[in-house]
Amino acid sequence: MDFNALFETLYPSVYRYVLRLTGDADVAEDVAQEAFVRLLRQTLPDAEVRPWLFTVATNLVRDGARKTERRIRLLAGAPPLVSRPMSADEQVEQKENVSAVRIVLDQLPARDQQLLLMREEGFKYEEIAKVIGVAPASVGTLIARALRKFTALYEASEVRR
Amino acid sequence: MSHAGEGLLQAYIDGEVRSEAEAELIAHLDACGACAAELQAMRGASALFNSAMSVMTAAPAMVTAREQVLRIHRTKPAQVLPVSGAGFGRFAAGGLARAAALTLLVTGAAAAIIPGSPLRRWLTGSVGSADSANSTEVEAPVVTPATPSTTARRAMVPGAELVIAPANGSVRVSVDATAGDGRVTVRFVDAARATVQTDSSAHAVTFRNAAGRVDVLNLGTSDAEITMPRSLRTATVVINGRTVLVKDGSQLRVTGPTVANTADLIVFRTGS
Repeated sequence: MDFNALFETLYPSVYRYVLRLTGDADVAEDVAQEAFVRLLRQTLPDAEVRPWLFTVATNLVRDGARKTERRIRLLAGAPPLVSRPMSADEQVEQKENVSAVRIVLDQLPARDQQLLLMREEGFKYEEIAKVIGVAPASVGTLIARALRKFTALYEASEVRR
Repeated sequence: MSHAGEGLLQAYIDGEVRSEAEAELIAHLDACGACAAELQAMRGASALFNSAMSVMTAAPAMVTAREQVLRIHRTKPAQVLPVSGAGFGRFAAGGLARAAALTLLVTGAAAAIIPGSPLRRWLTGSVGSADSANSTEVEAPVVTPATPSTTARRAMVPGAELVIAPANGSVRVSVDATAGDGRVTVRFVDAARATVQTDSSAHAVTFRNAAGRVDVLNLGTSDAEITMPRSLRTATVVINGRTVLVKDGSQLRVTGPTVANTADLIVFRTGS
């Protein structure tokens, strides 16, 4: 597949993954673009491109996230992450929802975040296993446990709200 | 079949169970209320997560992003790949490098006479400064044709670029910025010299340099990009008086808060 086709197919997914992972649209743009610049310098079989891109994107983000600052910004009200026009009330609600989800995601271990967000992007278990570095047979269990943690934290945050 | 494990149930929800095992699981679920209830709860958790994620989505600017990626790829291959005669490779030892440096010095001198040019501001700012007075050797900055940043979250419009020769294998870059959303990107590259590039929005920026050292003053809230040769013995980056990065031999210590941090690329935010 040529670069343009790969870009059209995969860039939105990588961007969305990093956006959800970091909560920062600027970082998502930087990281996704950097991953594709590096892709241009690689020769990879088509089947390996997507896991490779997500691995690079995850590595770029890892250890670079300023969680404390991010939380402060989110609590102060992050910019809306959707582009369609919204009313003022909708914008307020959207900010609250995004902040609540980000705060919950931030409380999960990094691996759980990665698992859940890769699954959300439609990765197969075998691909997730390769990127995360676990046995494919354990991915289902890890996802189930991560979802359970997310649900408990999310419901607790709903009660507080 | 005994009770289905959570991993199998999750795989079933995600369509990851092979057909023969799936048939056996479905038969079990028909007969086992506990597993069916567990499956229902897990489906609820999946739906909740999907719903939560649906509020965190945005359409990226595809055309701009693709153009940026291709532009970076075309214009800055030497920052990631080994030097191949282009870009920073021109500073390799030899007569050609000296000739190129001389050309760049002439370019820099020409830029210095332009009112308001970054180099002119540097010259003005450096005269009589304590740092330059204490310097053992002062190398004039070289203004090179600007290239775009590879890490700016928006397309960085290049302003000034200085080239710094290491002194005894060391380079120190100090940045003076104000609170805001500015970023300082540090890259380790295969090159002989360090560079500092500032965004064109840094209208008040001035530079002061000495042997193996450059001070970037009044960066404001704009971005800057620093490239450091991988071969440096020591490299130091200071932002607003705080040492944020030290390379000592092969050891790299990042002591300041980062936006991104990999082996070759560290991005600091200057506003905190």
